[in-house]
Parts: sequence; C-alpha cells; structure tokens
Amino acid sequence: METIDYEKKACVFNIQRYSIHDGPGIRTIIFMKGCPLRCKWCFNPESQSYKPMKDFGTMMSVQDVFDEIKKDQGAYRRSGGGITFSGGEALTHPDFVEEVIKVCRMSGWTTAVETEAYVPEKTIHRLVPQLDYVLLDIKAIPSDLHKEGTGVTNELILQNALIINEIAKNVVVRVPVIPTFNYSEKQINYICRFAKHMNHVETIHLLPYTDFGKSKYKMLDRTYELEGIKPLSADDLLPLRELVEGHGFKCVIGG
Amino acid sequence: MTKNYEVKPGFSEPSQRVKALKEAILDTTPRIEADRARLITQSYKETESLPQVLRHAKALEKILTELPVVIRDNELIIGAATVDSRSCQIFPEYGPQGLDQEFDTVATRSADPFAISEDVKKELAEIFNYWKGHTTSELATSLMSEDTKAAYNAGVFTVGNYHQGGVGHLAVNYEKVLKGGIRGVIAEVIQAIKNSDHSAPDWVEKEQYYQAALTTLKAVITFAHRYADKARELAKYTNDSTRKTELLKIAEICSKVPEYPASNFYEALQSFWFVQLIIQIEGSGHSISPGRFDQYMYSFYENDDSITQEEAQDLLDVLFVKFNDLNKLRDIGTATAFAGYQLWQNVNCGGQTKDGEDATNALSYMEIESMAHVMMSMPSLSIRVWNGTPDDFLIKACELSRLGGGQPAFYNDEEIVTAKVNRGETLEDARNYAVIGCVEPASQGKENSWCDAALFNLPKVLEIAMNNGRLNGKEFGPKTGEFEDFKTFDDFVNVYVKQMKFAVGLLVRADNAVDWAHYELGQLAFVSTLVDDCISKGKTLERGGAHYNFTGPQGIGSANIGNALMAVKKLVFDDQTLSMKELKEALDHNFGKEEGIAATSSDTAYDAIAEAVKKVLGENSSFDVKNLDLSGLSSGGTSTAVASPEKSKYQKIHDLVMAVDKYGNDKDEVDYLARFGSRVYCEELEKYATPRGGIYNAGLYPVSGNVLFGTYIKATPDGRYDKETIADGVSPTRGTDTLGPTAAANSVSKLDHFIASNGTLYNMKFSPSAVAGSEGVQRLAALIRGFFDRKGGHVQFNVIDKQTLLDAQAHPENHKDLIVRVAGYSAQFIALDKTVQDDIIARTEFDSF
Ligand code: SF4
Repeated sequence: METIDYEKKACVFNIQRYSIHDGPGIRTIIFMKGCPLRCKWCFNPESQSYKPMKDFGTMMSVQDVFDEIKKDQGAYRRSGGGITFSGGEALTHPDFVEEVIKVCRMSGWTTAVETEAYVPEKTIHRLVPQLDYVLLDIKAIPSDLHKEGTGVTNELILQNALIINEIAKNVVVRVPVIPTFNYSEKQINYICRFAKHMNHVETIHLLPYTDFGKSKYKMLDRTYELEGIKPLSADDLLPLRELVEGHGFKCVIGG
Repeated sequence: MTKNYEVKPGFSEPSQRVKALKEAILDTTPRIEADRARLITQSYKETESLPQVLRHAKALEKILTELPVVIRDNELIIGAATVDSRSCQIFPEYGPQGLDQEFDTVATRSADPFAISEDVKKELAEIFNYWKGHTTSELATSLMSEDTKAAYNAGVFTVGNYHQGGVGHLAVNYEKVLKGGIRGVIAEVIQAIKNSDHSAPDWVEKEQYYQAALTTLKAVITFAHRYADKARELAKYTNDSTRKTELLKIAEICSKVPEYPASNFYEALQSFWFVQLIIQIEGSGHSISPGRFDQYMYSFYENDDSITQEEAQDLLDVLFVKFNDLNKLRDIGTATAFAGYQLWQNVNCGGQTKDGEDATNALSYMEIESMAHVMMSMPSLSIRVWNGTPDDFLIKACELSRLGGGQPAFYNDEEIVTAKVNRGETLEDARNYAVIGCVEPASQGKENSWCDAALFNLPKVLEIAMNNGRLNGKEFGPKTGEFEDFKTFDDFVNVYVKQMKFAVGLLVRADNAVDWAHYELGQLAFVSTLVDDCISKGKTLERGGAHYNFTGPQGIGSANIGNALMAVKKLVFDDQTLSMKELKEALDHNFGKEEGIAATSSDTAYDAIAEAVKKVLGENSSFDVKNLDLSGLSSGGTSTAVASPEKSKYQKIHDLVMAVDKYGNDKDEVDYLARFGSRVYCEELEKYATPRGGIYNAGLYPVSGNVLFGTYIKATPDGRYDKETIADGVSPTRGTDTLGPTAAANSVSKLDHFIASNGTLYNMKFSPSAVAGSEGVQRLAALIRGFFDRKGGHVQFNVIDKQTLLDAQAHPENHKDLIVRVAGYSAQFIALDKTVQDDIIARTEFDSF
C-alpha cells in the first residue's frame, strides 16, 4: 500500500483555482516558491526566492494543499481537469510534489507540471512518469543567450528535455517570446529545430511577453531590466506561428 | 419513425423571411391601442346582472369577434393582439396600471416607453372612469390591513405583480388542443356537465363556469375563422403569386385549427399560437409559458412527411419571432424594475420524460438553433439538464450562451424533480415540470403555482431586527431589543428569525388579499379549461381548479444576509474588534459616505420609486401619496452633518467589514450563514396555506427587483451603502466573489436549493475570451455539470464584454439588437432603465486566469 506523508511541508505562494490555460480541463495551479533561474522578464519575481517573504508564500502541508485543491473536485471530474504544479520551479520540491501527486492519483485527478527542467536528471526520472502532462519551457537554444536572459546555461535543460520526451505521457513545449531576447525568426527556428528531436512533441505554445510583473519589482526593491519594452499582442506572434507550423507543429498563441 | 437531427458545431444563418420579420418588429415603436379596453367595457355595461365569470367570458367573446384581425407582411404564423406589432392592449378590469397618471409621460419615460395618441388617451380616460371601484387591484387594496400596507410601502416586500395585473404564470396543456382541437375541449366540458350532480350545492357555481367556458371556446373558433377569411381576402388582392399561395395556405390552416386536431407540424404551430395568443388577450397576466414545447410538438414533426428539416426550422424561427409581436404595458415603477418589454414566454427543451427517460429530441436542438437565428428578447429558452442529458446537446446549448444574448438558462432536473416531489407532487408530474416565467418550475398543464406572488426583501428584515422592530423609525415588528444590547451572536440571529416570522406573516396576508381579489373579480374561463382539473372540478384557476396550487413569493438578497451576519459575528463577537454600538453608529452614518449612493443619481429612480409606491395605494381614496413614509428614500440629515475626522473612522470600519470573508468565495462559515438566512425565510413560508388550497412555496430569485429593493434599505453590516442595490438572486454581491467561477458556484450550491422550490437564480458573467474555442464551451458545460452535481438549481450566463455594454449606453442607436440577460429573462439592453443597465455592467465578470 502506498503511504502518503500528509505532514510534509513546502513553501507555496499561491493556489489559483479555475485555471484554463495550463493543461486540459478546469485546473487548480499550485505555485511553489523558489526557482534556480533569474529570468529578466519573470512576472512572478516574488516566486524566485525559496523563503517566505513579506506577504509572499506560506508553508503548507500536503494536507493543507489537499483541503484546498479538493474544493474544485466537481470541476475536475466534469472537465477532465486536475492539478498543475507551477512556480517558481515546482520540481525543485520533489518530495512535496510527489506526495501531492499521490493524493491526486488517489482522487482520480490528472496532474500536470509547468517546468523549466533545470533540475537534476534523477528528479525528472522520479516525477515525470507519475505526471499526466508536462508543459516544458524552452527559452532559447544558444547557451550564452540563455545565460544572459535567465542567469543559467541550458545544457542541463536540453538534456532533460530529451529525457522528458522519452518518459512523459504528454509533453508540450512552451516558449515565452521576449523582445530583446528570443523575439526573432532565428531564435524560434532554433527552438523548433531542437523540438524536432523530441518526437513526442506535437504542439508548441508561444506565450507573448507581458509586463504585468513590473510593479512587483518595485515592491521587492529590485530594478526591472526590461523597463520600457512594450508587451506583445497575440497578433504580433502570428508570423512566428506560421513559422512554427511550417516545422510541422501545432501552434497555440497564449496557451 | 424518429426524425434524426445531425448535430453540427456552430449555427446557420436564418432565412431572409426571418430576418425581415425580425427587422419589422425592431423598427416598430410600441403603441398603446384601445380596442380591447373599449370592447370589454361595452360588454361589461351590457352584463351587469351576470356573475363575474360569465361577464368576463362574454367580454372575451366580444373581443375575439370584433378585435381587428391583422396579417402582417411575410408572416406564416398569424394572429395578433394589436394592429401594430409589439404594441399593447389595455386591461382595465385589473386597474389602470398607472396609465391614468402617465398619459402624458408614457411615451417618453426611460423604461419601456409606449406611444399613445390623443384619441386613445381620451377614450381610455373615460374607460378607466367606468371601471373605478370595480377592479381587482382596488379590491385587493381594500382587503389589506394597515400594517400589511405599511410593510408593502416601505419595501419589506411587494405583491405588486398580481395586485396590479392578472396572474398568468402558467404552462398550460397545449397538447390537448393540438391533439383534440377546441372541439375536443368542448367535448370534455360537456362530459363534465353530464357527470355532475345537478342538484348538488356546488352546481350553481359549476354551471356558471361551464357556461363561461363554452362561450369562450366557441369564440376561439370564431377568431380563427375570422383570420381564415382575412387571409382569403388578402390573397384576392395580392399580385405576388408566392404570397397568394402562402395566404391561401394560411386560410386553409385557420379554417381547420385550432377547432380540429392539427395533422402536421405547420398546423400544430399555428394551433399552438392561437392558444398562446388568446390566453394573453383574455387576461393581463404575463409568463404564459409554452413550457415543454419540444415534447408536445415532437410527434407532429416526427410524423410529418411533407416537411424537410430546413422548412421546419424556418417555421420554428418564424414562430420564435412572433413571440415578440406581443407586448404589455406596466406602470413606470414595475417597468423600471422589470424592464425590457418582456412577457416571459418561456420555452423549454430537454430533460426527462414522465417515465424518467431522456427527453431530448430533434426539436430540442432545433429550438436552440431558432434562438440563435432569432436573438430577440422573447422567447426565453430553458434547458433542462439531468445526468442523462447528452453531452453534445448541453454543449450546443453552451454555444448559444456564448453568443451573448443571455440565453439559454440551465435547470437541474436532479434537484428540481426532488424538490417538487417534496412539495407533494407525484414523481411523474414532477418530472413533467416546465420552467415558467423567470425560473419557476411547475408541472405542465396541472399546476397553478402563482409563482411570482411577491418579492421579499431579506436584508430589510435584517434592518428591522437591528432596530428593535422599528421600520424606518416607526414601531412595526415585535420589540426584540436594541442592536447595541445583544450579548451574543445567537441573540442577534434569534431576533432576525423573530422579525422574519412577523414579516412573512404580513406578506402572506398581502398575498391572500390579492388572491381573494382574483377569486372574486378575476376568474378566467378559457385558460382554466387548459389546466387540469378545472373542467372536472367545475372551477376556474382563480377558485382553486388546478390539480396543484401554490403561492410562490421570492426572497432577494441571500448574499447580503450571509455577509452581514458574518461581519457581525467576526468583528463583534469572535474577534471583538468592534462593539455593536460602534458598528451601529457606522451604519447610521452610512460608513462615512457623504450621501447615500442610490443605484443611480438621476431623478428617474426616485420618481420610479415614488410611482411604485403610489401604484400600491393609488386607487384607494383613504390613502394619499403625500402621506407615505418615504424616509427610507432620503439620504437622511445625519450623514451630511458628519464632520470629516469622524468620517474616516466610519470608513475604517467599512474597511474592516469589507475584509471579512464574503459569500461567493467557497468559505464555509459565511456561505452557511447565507444558507441559514435564506432558509429561515423559506421554512417560515411553507407553514402557510393558500386560499386556493395549496401551500406557500418560496423561491430565491430577483427578477430585477434587487435594484429597486436596495433603495429602501439603509447601510447594512455587509458593507453595503445606503440605497445601494442588493445581490441578485442567489448570486454573490457583485465584485465580492474574487476566487473565480468554481469557487463562486460552490458557494451558491451551499444554499438549500431544494427548499427554495419555487426556483433559484444564479447569474454568472464571462468575458468572451474565457469561453472562446471548443474548449471554452466544453468548460462551460463542465461548470454546469459540476454545479449541478452539487445540487445547484439554475444557472445562466452573460457572455459579453463590458466595453460593448458601455458603448451601448453611450450610443443606443447602434445597439438595437443587443440582448442581455437581466435576471430570469433577456431583454433589449437599450430598453432597460439606466439603473438596471448599471447593475448588469457591475456584476463580476470572470475572465480566464
Ligand atoms: S523560470 Fe519562471 S519562475 Fe523562474 S525566474 Fe524564470 S520566469 Fe521566473
């Protein structure tokens, strides 16, 4: 019999009900706090640190989370929805995430993760087979560009991507499209070419840049490096969508 | 042979004919016509010695024999109440409906204006003179006690609907006429006469009714034949050969139905329309609801080999446009509160058969298609949903929701059938419920649910409980102690219950007075033949002839009660952040707001309220509008006298109140207080019997009375300001449900929908982007299923963005065809009063996260 450690705790910075863009059906997103990356455009900068700070983040037990996500069980049941882990980088809390996955499995809810895959390979092997959907962020292929935009190089990420391709039940690639970073045919082409090596990927989501994290930087006494850059609209991404489709993928803007 | 229906995503275009018919109606300015009023008055003058039921029957006979017969261009389904389309006849027997005071303003008023000619004004003035002292509304007023009237005037409740007009609110047995013809009904009456004991003491009453019934039934046939003649005449003069053929066909059909059984789909539709129309010529009651149209109409479609699906769809479209040919005048107060030229003709589809099987058929889908083709304010479409409802059907209905016209509404069989059985109906009859009016379920052809009996202001009762039983400063209810002196939360709750008992007692007396007035003066012979067991009992509906009888008044403001109780509990008793005295003071100072914020600052709202009050007492000479207690309407001297430093103190209290958990966020404690607060009302009501031999049956829905009712209440502990609107139906207070649609729906489902068996109403608003794509409609369907799993009773959606609504307010001329969900019905947005428009704009809009 599977045991569940309901007492296990981690720092959660938000639980968002009725999420409809992060996996199938009606979902609840659990935003875990803490991320090893420092993307310049990050619109949840309060999620980057692993510690609760100011009003952001509370330590929650698996039981606390269960009580909360249970509230929408009717909607999951009727829509084929469930739970999506996000962050920060949810997979940097493997023990906690695994316990919550067990709770979801026991209740019959689907699970998804939104990940940037910058985690040890063994975490991928441990958790990905237990999840129904992986929404995998790939931000850029040239490693130096990646480092400039996110603070880390991408070898580990790309290597994990190929593993995820092999072991995940369903995988979708998501690309945040950021002016000054990867908002160009060239960069998106690179990503598509890489994604072609992932034979189980059918769909690529292009997420237009928004600046609604801007004000949070002020609250956190940090400077927003993309100050002055205009958000992209869905229409701005239409040419890139054509490009992605040209590579034989389905493409969703927003997603 | 079953007729298949191939379901496809999306909707097709309506025919040119349908477009033209629709255009013609939207382009007409509604007008007041005097023919009916003149004819009934002439008839009544000739029949003064006869019993009322017969007098009214003879009047209907005269009306159906002499009312102008009109066939409009392009029409295939014919029969009109007025010469101009979308115009109205007047029903002086119920009272002047405020028109006597509005002759010169009715054409220019903000809600539901009607043009009126000088001749008609003059004629109607004389007619009203004849009726003075003999109307149902005056009789009802004279039967009401002083304290009942005080409560009514102060907006504790209103029974204005049946007080001022006819009762209506029926889904009759149309099938009987379609299948057996009017001749069949006549045969039924004759059989009943044969079966009666003519020396029994009740025979005298029965005989009057039977005679009246036969008189009207014969007149119905005459009316149809006049249309046949008219069609033949028009055919003679037209040069258009296609139209000539159409007119000759119409003539042929009208010579046959409704007198004889219909034998194909076209005939059945025409027969149906005659019944639908004549019921609405006979009495002024609205919400004459076709009900389970897809059920009783299906066999005529199924067995009709002469018609293709496209032709049938087109005829159905034509009928759906035709519903909008009818209109009625209401006084300014009612028109403001319930605006939108609405007669609440509610068509249903889907659900279960009497045997508990799935009832969805080809016509169910075609009704949805017609709604999409027509997109007008009538009819309303109700989708009955049960666990066996086909997913593709539900999704088709959600696609209609997404078009943004506020149609359809969804009803939960799993909850409603149980609730009806709990009220004493057989399982079969409960399964055969039809949604009528806004949201009220009634067994089709068997029930006189009297379901729009009153609107009841729940937060007003809370206000009385907070004021030691005083109503706007005057002694009223039992003396239950001052708010400041309550020592425990339970003390306060108990007082709320006591005042509720008192107020409900008065409501019942008011409703019974109105009921009695219709018993005496409002008997309607024709419509009574179409509801079981009127014929076999030999009694009209008004005298208790129906198989099931109820009186159904609606409570409004469940959310306000829940939030108010929660704030008091949390701030005063649990956390002791505030004393009762401090809270009371803050309320008395309207939380530091300078002026009470009325739903609108324009004078029309105030005029409207004054008019609404006036109409209550208008006909009774012992009352004068000048003496009415309108103190609840003034912003009050105290609030303006507040010095500014104090203001911020009260504003701080407001902040505290607003920070307390609110109903609509899936928080058990406050949600269960809302459940408790509204349940008290429902439970108190069900203890009472109606004069027609049934019980009271509460509902929780607002029509759109929540805006008007708000103006009667000072600031309340839920953080609502003086005169601000109260929550609509069982929906959360606008803007306070912040955790998204699933959380809000969960809260709503925590109310006891079973005991609110006269219907509940939950409005959800989505931005178009939240329901885009096939996934969007699937999610909507999943939300409905999830809500219904938790035994919610009703839900409806407004899918329209704020910008469009604001633009329509600014440029009404560009938005003639913009239809929105108001409450239990949809209406042309630009015809609504501004207060109601603002309320719709302010409802929480769910976007995607
Ligand atoms: S990976 Fe996501 S959470 Fe982490 S810094 Fe980048 S945008 Fe923020």
